[in-house]
Amino acid sequence: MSSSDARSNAAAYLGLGSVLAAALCTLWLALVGHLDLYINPRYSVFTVVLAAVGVPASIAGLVAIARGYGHTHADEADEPDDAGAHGHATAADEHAADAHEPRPGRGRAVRLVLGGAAAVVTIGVTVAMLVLPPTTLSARTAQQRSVDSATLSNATGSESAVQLLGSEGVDTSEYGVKDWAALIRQTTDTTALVGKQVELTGFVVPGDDGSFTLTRFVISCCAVDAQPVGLGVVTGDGDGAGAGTVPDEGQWVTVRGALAANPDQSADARIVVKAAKITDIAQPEDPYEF
Amino acid sequence: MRVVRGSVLGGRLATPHRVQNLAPNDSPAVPSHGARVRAQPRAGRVTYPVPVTTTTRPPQRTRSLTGPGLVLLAVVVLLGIRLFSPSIGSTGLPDVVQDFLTLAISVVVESLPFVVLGIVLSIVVEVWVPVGALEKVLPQNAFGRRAVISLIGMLFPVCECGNVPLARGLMMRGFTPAEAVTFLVAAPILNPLVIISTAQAFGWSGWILPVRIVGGFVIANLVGWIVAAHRRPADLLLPAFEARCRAAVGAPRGLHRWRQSAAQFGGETATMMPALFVGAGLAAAIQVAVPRSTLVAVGSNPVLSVAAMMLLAMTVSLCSNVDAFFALSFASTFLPGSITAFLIIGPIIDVKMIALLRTTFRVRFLVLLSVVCVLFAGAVGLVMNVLV
Repeated sequence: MSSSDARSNAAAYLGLGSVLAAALCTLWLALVGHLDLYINPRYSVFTVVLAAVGVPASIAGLVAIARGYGHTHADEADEPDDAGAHGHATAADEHAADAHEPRPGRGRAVRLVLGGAAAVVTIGVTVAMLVLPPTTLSARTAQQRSVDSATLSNATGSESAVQLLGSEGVDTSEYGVKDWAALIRQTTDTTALVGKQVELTGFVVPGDDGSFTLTRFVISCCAVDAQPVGLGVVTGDGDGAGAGTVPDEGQWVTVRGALAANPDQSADARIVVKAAKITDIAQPEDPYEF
Repeated sequence: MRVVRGSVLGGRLATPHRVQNLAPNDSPAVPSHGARVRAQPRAGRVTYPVPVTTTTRPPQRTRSLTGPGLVLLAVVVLLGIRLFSPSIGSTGLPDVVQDFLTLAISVVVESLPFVVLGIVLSIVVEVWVPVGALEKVLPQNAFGRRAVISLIGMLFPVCECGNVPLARGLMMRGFTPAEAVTFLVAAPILNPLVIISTAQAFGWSGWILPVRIVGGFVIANLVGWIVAAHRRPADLLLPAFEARCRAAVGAPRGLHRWRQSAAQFGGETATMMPALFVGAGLAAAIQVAVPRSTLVAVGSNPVLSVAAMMLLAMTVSLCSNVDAFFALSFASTFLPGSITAFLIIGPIIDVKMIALLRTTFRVRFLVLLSVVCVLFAGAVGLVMNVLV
């Protein structure tokens, strides 16, 4: 009895502790304005409200264990249930559950190992969540998700982009990498775009000789779905500072220049930015576009 | 351990009506449990077995007080580290590890509110909704009953990760596994938030939205029917969970509902949170390890693109409330059928969901669910690609 109690209590500590930690972490991220490093701002309110529910609820759960209210419940939620929680289905596990008198030692050992592994993952990610500073995805992921390849189109911003074609008066100064990338991809007659002055910020994914892709991640829900979008930047024949040299991979830069036809005719993107000036900058506060 | 379980179960089984509520045809399970109970010399004893408790009984009290304290302390200390030495760990981690952590944390941050909401709703269903109140409004006929249950999601705007605890709550109320499964499959598709976000992404016109809605309804009732037709639906549940349902159904409601709710929150988080973290870890690991470009390179092939989008849905583990926006970014190169297959399979089967479902169901059910859903979504996608 006491050993099962201890184990179900330990499982409840793990569950409640991780809820508490994750909820506090969410609230803290929202407080310092970094929640948008992980999720799209349109879900911030929902997330914050339920995190605020999670904190008192998990503390109430801890109090319930401390006072012993949880015991009857914990007894029912015994091992196989908990072990199943850990997500790994193994043949041994299944067999142990099937036969009414299985080899209890082995099934139990497997469950303990899997349960331990799940606990390690839970604690590890929770600790990382609390202790490590929030960061953005790296240029490595951008490359791996094929920046701006022909197969990716853009989720949002298309309406304003189309609108732009109709009237010259539309203010493009607020356009980000995403907007220009969408616009360039949707436009059939790209000559209208050539010569437009742009000033854009993004990070560097290096390309072939003297060119790179100015990249931003676009998040529709959370960082898992981050889609890299980018504009080709040619540095070759500019005459401003920084022209001709490609910054390091992952470096955040602001590029000023004009849109031009892509000198590489075989490339998918027909328009690139001919950089007049490239300035290294620190990573901005809001590295993702939404 | 087994002694305890036997005795708890044995005590509860003394009232037979609790068994019949779970599933009409799982009675063969009863004698075998009974046999196990009889085989135990201490069956029926409610007091603690003497040999084990002699040493542990006194420390039990202190431990149960220090445990929660330690958990609180650990969380506070870790938060303190974060607040007072913000620069720790900001350098030195390789990109791969850093990206893995960022992705895993983002899945947790995104899913946690839904899991909390799901657990809260399941506590409401289990502890607060009066006995019989839900059951009264449902039709008697099994098909009609499941059809109505598959529309309950309209009232609970919870995406798939919140639905697992809610489905567990329903089963502990006495719903059959087939009914709970119907709800589980239908609710993440047939709920207002999902329908609105899908409409925002793809518009009310066009085939994608109606096919997603109708497809979700059909697949949910199909899976529910298959489970109901199973020889012993209770066999699809993990034995421990089944035993817990059996004990919970019809058991007298506690007087201390708030206490019960708090204890229930602890019990459900104990089960769901490790599963959520494992699911998030798996999803993040797949994202880091497998280049997405290999998946999306096949967009224009009517057959391969359906398979690719389904595979993408199963690996990326998005929440169904928002997956339409993600799918939209593939809309220009993937055929509409492939997008629809993505939108049907994504809420039901993905690596995070499989980890969460494993808290409750046996592997054989997960295999059954995966096969049925993949075939169904694939068929819908192919037909749409050919016809539309």
